Amino acid sequence: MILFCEDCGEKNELKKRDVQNGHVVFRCAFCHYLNSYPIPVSIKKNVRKRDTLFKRDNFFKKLKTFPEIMGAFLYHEKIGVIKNQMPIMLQNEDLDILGRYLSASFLTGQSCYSNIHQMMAVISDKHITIQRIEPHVFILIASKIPSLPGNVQDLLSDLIFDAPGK
Amino acid sequence: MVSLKDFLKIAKVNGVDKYIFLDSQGKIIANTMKHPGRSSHMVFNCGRNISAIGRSNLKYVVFSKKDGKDILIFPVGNYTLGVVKQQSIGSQLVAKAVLVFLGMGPK
Repeated sequence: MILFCEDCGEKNELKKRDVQNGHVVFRCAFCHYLNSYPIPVSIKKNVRKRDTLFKRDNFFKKLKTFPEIMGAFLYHEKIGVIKNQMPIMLQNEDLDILGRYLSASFLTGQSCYSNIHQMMAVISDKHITIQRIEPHVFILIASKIPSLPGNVQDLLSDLIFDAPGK
Repeated sequence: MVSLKDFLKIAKVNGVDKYIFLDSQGKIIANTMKHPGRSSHMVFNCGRNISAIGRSNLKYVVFSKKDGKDILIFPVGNYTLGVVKQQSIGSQLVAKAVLVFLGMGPK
């Protein structure tokens, strides 16, 4: 994150940890002036959004290393498929239908039992797990086995914990 | 597939805590649920929704709950079976046992 010194106006590159409770405190690398000022919400949002995207990309990369996992995609309730790492035989339209029906079922289940956190549908010999990672975003993971490997569950938990809006 | 009158024996299947059995209109045929109204709404709507994409290939659906009392939904012809599993047993074991009971799983 780049922020400017209030005194000399020089650019300073800062780490996320320099921002606390919406305030940034840093000593300018050029004039050594001690800066302390609130940062605009949009900057915080952009930083958070970038971090979220990075974590998602990382998650999808790691998912490729599990032979039990056939693929995964992200489904947004309003936009549709927003990230796709499923086998190429499935078109975006197919995934859209899959995402729409499964997310609707997941939400119906949650509206009746609020402690539901994951759903898995067994169709033929495929297992499709769905979980909400953001208020409007769901991740769908297709696997060859009924239970997701423990490591995948851990990675998934990290993704959900870090999701904005949670 | 088991006959309707034999369905009450589902309660004795390994890992089954409670069950609800619905007809094609969502009407409760048999149940041991604590809140049958809420359960029937969920089981019927979710079962119908997922059957729409899985069609005859849909075997079952598992809703994982934080208290371990997962809910499993099985399409049984035009009917739908909902099962609450016991906390101490894994969902997959219950699913297998129920599929065998329904005559749809490996013996």
